[in-house]
Amino acid sequence: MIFEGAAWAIFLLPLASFVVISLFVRPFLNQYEKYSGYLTILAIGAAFVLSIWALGSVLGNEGEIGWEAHSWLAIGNLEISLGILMDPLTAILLIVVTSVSLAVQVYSQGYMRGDPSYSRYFAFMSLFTASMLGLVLARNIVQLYAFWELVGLSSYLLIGFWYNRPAAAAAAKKAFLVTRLGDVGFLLGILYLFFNKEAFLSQGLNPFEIADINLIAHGGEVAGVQIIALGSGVATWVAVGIFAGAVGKSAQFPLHVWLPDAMEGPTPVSALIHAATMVVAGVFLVARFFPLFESSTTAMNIVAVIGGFTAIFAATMGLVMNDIKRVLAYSTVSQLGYMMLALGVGAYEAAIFHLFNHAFFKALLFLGAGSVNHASGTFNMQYMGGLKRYMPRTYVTFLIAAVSISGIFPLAGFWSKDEILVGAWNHGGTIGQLVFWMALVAAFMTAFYIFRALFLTFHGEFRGGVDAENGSQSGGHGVHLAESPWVMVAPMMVLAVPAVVSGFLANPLNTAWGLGIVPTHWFSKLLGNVEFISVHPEPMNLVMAFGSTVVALAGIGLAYLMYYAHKVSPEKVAAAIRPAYNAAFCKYYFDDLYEDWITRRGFYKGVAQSTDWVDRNIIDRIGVGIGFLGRNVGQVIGMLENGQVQAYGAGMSIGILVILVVFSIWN
Amino acid sequence: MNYLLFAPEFTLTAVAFAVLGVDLFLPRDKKGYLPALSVVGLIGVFVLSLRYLWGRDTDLYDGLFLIDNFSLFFKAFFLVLGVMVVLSSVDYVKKHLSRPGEYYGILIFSILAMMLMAASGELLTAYISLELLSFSLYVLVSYGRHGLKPSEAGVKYILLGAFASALLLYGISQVYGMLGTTRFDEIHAALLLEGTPLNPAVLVGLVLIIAGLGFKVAVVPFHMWAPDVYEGAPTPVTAYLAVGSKAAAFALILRLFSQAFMPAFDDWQIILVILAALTMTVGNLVAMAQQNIKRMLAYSSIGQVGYLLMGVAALSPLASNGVILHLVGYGGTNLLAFMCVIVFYNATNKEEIADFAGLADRSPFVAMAMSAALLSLAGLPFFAGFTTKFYLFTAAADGGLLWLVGLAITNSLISLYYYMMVMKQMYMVPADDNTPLNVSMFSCGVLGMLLAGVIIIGVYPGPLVNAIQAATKAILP
Amino acid sequence: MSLIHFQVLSAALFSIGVYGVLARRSAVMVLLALELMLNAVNVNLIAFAAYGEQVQATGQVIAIFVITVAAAEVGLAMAIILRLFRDRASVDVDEVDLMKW
Repeated sequence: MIFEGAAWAIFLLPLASFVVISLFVRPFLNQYEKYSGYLTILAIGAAFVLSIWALGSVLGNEGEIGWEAHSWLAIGNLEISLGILMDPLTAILLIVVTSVSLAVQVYSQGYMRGDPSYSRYFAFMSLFTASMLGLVLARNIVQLYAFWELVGLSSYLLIGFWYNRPAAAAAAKKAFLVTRLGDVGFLLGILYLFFNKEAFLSQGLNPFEIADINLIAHGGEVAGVQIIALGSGVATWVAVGIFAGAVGKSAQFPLHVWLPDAMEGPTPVSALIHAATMVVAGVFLVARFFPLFESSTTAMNIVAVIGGFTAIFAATMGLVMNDIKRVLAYSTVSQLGYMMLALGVGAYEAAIFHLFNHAFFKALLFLGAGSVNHASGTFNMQYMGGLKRYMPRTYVTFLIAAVSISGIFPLAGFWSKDEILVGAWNHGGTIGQLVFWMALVAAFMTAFYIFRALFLTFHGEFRGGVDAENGSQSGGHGVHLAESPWVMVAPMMVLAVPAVVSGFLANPLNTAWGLGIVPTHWFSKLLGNVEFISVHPEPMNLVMAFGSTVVALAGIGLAYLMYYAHKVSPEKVAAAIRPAYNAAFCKYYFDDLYEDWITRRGFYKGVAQSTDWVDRNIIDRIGVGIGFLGRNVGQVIGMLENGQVQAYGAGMSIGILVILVVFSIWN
Repeated sequence: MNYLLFAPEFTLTAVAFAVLGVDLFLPRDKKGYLPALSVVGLIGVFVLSLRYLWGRDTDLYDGLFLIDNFSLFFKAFFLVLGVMVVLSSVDYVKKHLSRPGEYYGILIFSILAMMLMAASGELLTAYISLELLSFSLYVLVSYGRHGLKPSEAGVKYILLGAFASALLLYGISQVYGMLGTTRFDEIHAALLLEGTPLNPAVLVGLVLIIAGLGFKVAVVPFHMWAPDVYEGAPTPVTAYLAVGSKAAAFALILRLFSQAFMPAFDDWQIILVILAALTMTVGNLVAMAQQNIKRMLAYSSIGQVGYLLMGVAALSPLASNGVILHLVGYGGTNLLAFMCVIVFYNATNKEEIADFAGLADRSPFVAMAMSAALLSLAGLPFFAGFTTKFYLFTAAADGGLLWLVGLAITNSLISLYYYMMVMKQMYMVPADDNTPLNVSMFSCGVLGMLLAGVIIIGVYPGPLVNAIQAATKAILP
Repeated sequence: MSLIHFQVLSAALFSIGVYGVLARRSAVMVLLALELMLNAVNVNLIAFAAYGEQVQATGQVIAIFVITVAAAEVGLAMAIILRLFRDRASVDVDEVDLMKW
C-alpha cells in the first residue's frame, strides 16, 4: 500500500527536476546540459514507478485511499486544504501522464539534440509534467484550479519554446488567452460554489473539497447520513462553469482554435501536451466532477452536444490539412470531442478508457510525425511521400497507431470507440441518437484522414522534403532520408505496444479474451471503485462492432483509392498492358472524380472550407476582436486623459455631481 | 497617558531628522551611508513597534490616535515597505537624483504620515496625516532633475491634490456640522441615532469624503492625475505612490467606513459598487493602449484599486481581510514590477514598453522577475496575486456582489492580455542592442528578495492571513 | 443671522473657488482659488461650531489647523510652480500637457 509521502513524491520529483535544472544547471553548469535530460528522465521514471505502485495500491484497496487534508488557507470559517485524492481515476491518469511523458523525454534526447536551449526545454518539460501530476492528484478544487493554471502556463512556455519564431510566439499567446477564457468560467463556477457555501457548511461539508462536491451533488443517503442535494439550478451553473474550463483546455468548440496553432512548439511537446496529457485535462475535469454533471440533465446534454459537434467539426478540418501535425491536431480535437460526448451520454468508463488508449496511440502518431520531420525536414505532406522505404520502423509504428485510431479490430482504438458508440446508442433519446450518428460519421472521417496522412507521407515517391518547400518552417534539419536514431525509435516502439494491446483492458467478452490475465470488464470495474460513480459495463455488441469496423474500413478504403492508387503512374501501366491501362485510367478517372469533384468541390469547398471559414473568420476574430475592441475602447477612454490638469479637475467635479444626482434619483 | 505607546512615531521622526542632519556632515562621496541609516532606523522602529505595541488595544489623546492590531499591522507593513522602497532607491538616487539626504528624510516622513493615517481615530487627525503624506509626496514627485516632466508631474499632483483635499475638508465640515463630532466612534453612534434615510447634508459630506480619498487611491473618475504623475515621478517614488500611499489611504478608508460610516452601509455601498466597476474596467481597458511602462503600470494599478474597492463595497470581516491581504500581495508584486523597471532604467535610461524588447537575452534574471511580477498581477497561481485575489474575490462573492466579481474576473483576463504584451516584448522581440544589461549585485539582491516575497505569499499565505485576521478584528469585531 | 446664511455663504465661496480652480489659466490664480475653497471650509466649520446644538471648540480648532495647512500648502505649491516657471518660463497650466494619453 502506497503511503502519502510517496504519492507526493510523484508530483515533487519532476518539480525538483525543474528547480534543479533552472536554478543550478542552466545558470552555472550549462556545459553539462545533457545531464538535464538525464535528470528529467530519472525524475519522471521514478514518478512512473511510483504511479504503478499507486495503481496497485488502489487496486488492492478497491477504491480511494483516504489521506488527511493539510490546511492551506482559511477564508473565514472555511478551510482551503491541500492534499491528495488517490482513487482509480487519479491512478489511471497518473499512469498515462508519467508513461507518455517518460517515452517523450527519451525521444526528446534525440529530437532536441543540439538545440541551443536544451536545458530550458527539459526544465519546462519537468515543470509541465509536475503541474499535470499536481492537477491529477489534487483533492481540492482550488488546488486543482491552481495546477490547472500552471499547466496552462507551462504549455504556454513550451508552445513558445522557439520564441524567436513569430508564429510560435503568436500561437503561445493565443493558446494562453483562449484557454484562460474558459478558465474565467471555471473560476466563476468555483466562486458560485463558495456563494452557496451554506448548503455545504450546514451539512458539515466543505464547498472546495472535490469529494464533498461530488457527495452533495450525488445526494441521497451516504454512510447512514441523509445528504440534501444541491438545487439543480446551482448544480447546473457550477457544472457549466467547470465545463467552460474544460472546453478551453480540451479545445472543444468554440475554444478549439488554439490547438492547431499550438503545433508550432517542438513535436515531442505536441505529443505530450497537445495530444496525450494536457488536453485530456478537460476530460479529466468533467470526469472528476462527474456526479455533479450527472445531477443536471442540462449540463450533461451540453457536454454531449458540444462533444459530438466538436468530433465532427474538427474531423472535417482534418480531412483537408496538408501539414501532418495539423491533421493530427484536428484529429486530437475530434477525439477529445469523442470523449466529451461519451461523458455527456453517461458512458463514464468508455470516456476514460478512450482517454487512456488515445494517449498512447496519439502520442505515437505525433512522435512518428516528429521522426518523419527529422528525415524530411518538413511537416508538409505534399513534400513527403515514399518514406516507408527509408524509415521502416517509423512506418510500422505509425501504421499501428493509424490502424488503432481508426478503430480496427483488435487494436486499442477499436475497443474504446466501440464502447462509446454503444454508450451513445444505449443512452437513447434525441440526444443519444444525435450524438451516436455524429460519432459514427466522425469515425469514418477519422479513418479516412489518418490513412490519407499515412499514404501521403509514407507511400509513393519522395517529393523533395524541405528543399522542395524552400525552407519555410523547417526545423533546421534539411533532408537526410534515413531512419531516426534509436533513442527516438525505441520510445515509439514501446508506445506501439499499448497502442495494440491496451484495448484488452476493457475486455468486454470473457477472461479467455483477456488472455487469462485480464478479467472481464476489468477497466470498468476498476473505475467503478471511484466514489459516487456507477458503471454499466456493456457486453460486446456484435452488430455495433461489425458496423463500426465497416465504417472505419470504408474510410480507409476511400483514402486508399484516392491517395494510394493515385500514385500509380499512368504511363508505366499503359506500357505494360492495354486493358490494365484502361482500368488504371478508370481508376484515375475515379480518382479525378473523388479528388476533384467530391473532395475539392464538394467536400473541401462545401464543408471543410466553410468550417475553416467559420473558424478563421468568426471564432478567431472574436478573440482578436476582443483585443482590438479593448485596445480601441481603451484608446478612446484614454483620450479623455488630455494632459490638462484643469480637465482632470473638471472630471472630478463632474464625477461628484453625477454621483450626487444619480443618488438623489435613486432614493 | 502612556507616551511609550507613541514611541515608534517619535523614534521615526528622530530617524528622519537624523538622516537630514547627518546629510549635512557627509561629504559628497559618502552619501551612501544615508540609505543604510534609513534602513537601520526603519528596521529599528519596526522592532520597537512589535515589541511595545503587540496585542495592545488602547488609545492616545482621548481617542485621536488608536493603538490596536489594525494600526500595528499597517505600521509593520509600512515600515517593511519603507525598507524596500529605500533599498530600491539606492542605485536610482545615486544615478539620477541630487540631494539624497532630503530624499530619504522626506521618504521617512511620509512613512510616518502613513503610520499616523492607519492609526487615526478622528477626522482631523486623519486629515492632517493625509496632508503630511501628500506634502512629502508632492516634493518627492517633483524630485527628478532632467527634462520638463518632473515639474509638470509636481504641478499636476499638487494642484489636483490640494483640490481633492479641499473637497475632502468640505466633506469633513459637513459631517462635523450635521453630526456634531469628528471622532469615528461618535460618528457611528450619531448615524445610528439618525437612522435612515441619510440626511442629504451628511450624504454630500460622505460623497465628498469618498471623492477626496478616492483621489488618493485613484478611483475613476478621480484617477486622471495618476498616469501623468506616475510617469513624471522618479520611478522609486512611482512605486511608492502606487503601493504606499494607496495602502495608507485604504487603511484609512477601511477604518473610516467600518468604524464610522457602517450604519449608513446601504447608502454608500451602491456608490462604491459603481465606482469599483468603473475603476476596474476603465483601468484595464486603458492600460491596453499604453506605450510607456510606467503609465501602463499606473493604469493596471487603477484596475487593482477597482478590485480593492469592490472589497470595501462588500465590507465585512472577510472582505476587510481580503482587502488588506490584496493590498499586501499586490503591493509586493507591484514593488517587484517597479523594481524591474528601475533596474532597467538605471541601465538604459529608457522606459517605453518597446524598449524592453529582447530583455530575456540581455538579462534573463530581470526578465524572469518581471514576468513573475506581471503574472502575479494577472493573478496566476503560485504567485501572490492569485492567492490574494482569490481571497478578495471570494470575500466579495460572499458579500453578495457576484456580478461584480464576474466583472472583476473578466477584467483579470483583459489584464493578462496587456501584461503579455510586455512579456512578448521581453521574450519574443529581438533587441536593437544586444549588450547584456548592467545590473548591480545589490539590485539583483533586492529583486531576489521581492521575488521570494511574492512567491512566499502565493504559496504559504497562512501566517500573513492570521496576522490580517487579527488586524481586522480590531476594526470589525 | 442664522446658520443657514453661513452655510449659503460657505457654499457660494466654495463654488467660486471650484470655478476658479477649473477656469483660471495661471497656476498662481489657481492656488488663490484653492485658498478660497479652504476658507469656505473654515467659514463652514466655525459657523457649525458656533451654532451647533452644543457649542464646541472642535470646529474652531479644525479651522486653525486648516489655516496652517493651507499656508504650508501654498508655500510648497509656490516652490513647485517656481520650478515650473524655470522649466518653461510660464506658469499657465493649460500649457502643461507634455504627458497625456
